[in-house]
Amino acid sequence: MKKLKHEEDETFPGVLKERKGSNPFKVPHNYFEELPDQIMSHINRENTVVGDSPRWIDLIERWKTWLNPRPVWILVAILLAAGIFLFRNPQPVIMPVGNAITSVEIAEYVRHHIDDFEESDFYINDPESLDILGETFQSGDVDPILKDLMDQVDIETLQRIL
Amino acid sequence: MPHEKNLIDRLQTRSSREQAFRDLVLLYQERIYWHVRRFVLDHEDANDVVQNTFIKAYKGLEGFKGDSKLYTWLYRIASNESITYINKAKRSLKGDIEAAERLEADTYFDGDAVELMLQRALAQLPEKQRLVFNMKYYDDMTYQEISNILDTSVGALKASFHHAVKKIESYLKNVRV
Repeated sequence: MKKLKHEEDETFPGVLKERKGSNPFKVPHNYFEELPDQIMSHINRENTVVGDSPRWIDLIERWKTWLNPRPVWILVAILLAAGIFLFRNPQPVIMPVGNAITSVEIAEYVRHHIDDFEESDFYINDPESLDILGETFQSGDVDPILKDLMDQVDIETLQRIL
Repeated sequence: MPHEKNLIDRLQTRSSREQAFRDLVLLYQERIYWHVRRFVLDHEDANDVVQNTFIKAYKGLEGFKGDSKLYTWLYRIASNESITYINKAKRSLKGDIEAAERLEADTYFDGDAVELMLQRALAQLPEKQRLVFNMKYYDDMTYQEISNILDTSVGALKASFHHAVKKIESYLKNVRV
C-alpha cells in the first residue's frame, strides 16, 4: 500500500505531531490469539440455530436461493405489470359475427310477439329521421301509410270509446 | 493481489468457506480491532463491535462480489458497526464523551495526561469527523482509501480532516490554559 507521506506531515501540529504513532490502549493477554476461535464459534452457533430451524424456514431459504437470479424477478415483474394493465383496461366483449341478429330476424320476432309491445313503441316521433329496422323513411314516405291507417279506423267505435 | 484473489475464491466456495474465513479474521483482526477500539475506546465494547463486524461479514459473503478490496469492505462494515454502537450508547446515556472520561480508570489504557486529553478532544468531534481523523492519523490511510471506505469525496474528507485537526488543537489549547 503506497502512501503519500507528505499528506500528514504538513497537517499535524503540536501534540498531534509529537504523539503520532503512539498507542495508549492495551488488550488482554492472548486476546488476538483467541479472537478467531471466539468469532468462529459464534458463527457456528448461529449456523446451528439456522440448521435447527423449522422445515418451513428451510424451504423459504431454499426458495430465496432458487429465485435469486435477476431474470426470474424481471420476468415476474413483467407478468405482474401485464396483469395489472389488463385488469385495469378490460377488453370490450365482442359478439361473434356468427351470432349477430339480422334485421330480418328482428322483424320476424316483432311480427310474432306484437302483443308484447306497447302501442307507443310504434309512434313516430321524428319522421324526418325515422329509422326502422335499418331503413330510413322520409316524411313523404310516411304520409301514404298514415292515410291507409286513417281509412281503416272505425270512426263510430272511436267516438264510442271517447 | 493474487493472495486476496485466492482468498475471495475460497470464501465464495462453500466447502472451503469456513477455513478461508478463519484466515480472513487472522489477516485483518488487528487492524479492524484497533480501528474500532480507537472509536469506541473501551475494550469490551470494541470486542463486541469487532465480533459483530466479522459475523456480519460472514453473513454477507454471498453478496461480496469482489468489486472492492476485502479490507475496504471490512473497514466499511466495522465503521458502520462502530457508529451504530456509539449511537446506541448515546441513547443509553453511555456516550463517547463519558467513555473518554472513564479512560483514566480503564485497566486497558495506559496513556499519560496528554494522551488522555487527546482522547477527550477526539471524543468531542462529530462521529464522521472522528472516523476520518482516526483513519488518517492512526491507520495511516490515504484520502483515496478513506474515500473508498466511506463513499465520500476526497475533497469532503480533506475538509473534514482539516476541521477535526483545528478542533483538537483548540480543545488542547483551552484545556492547558
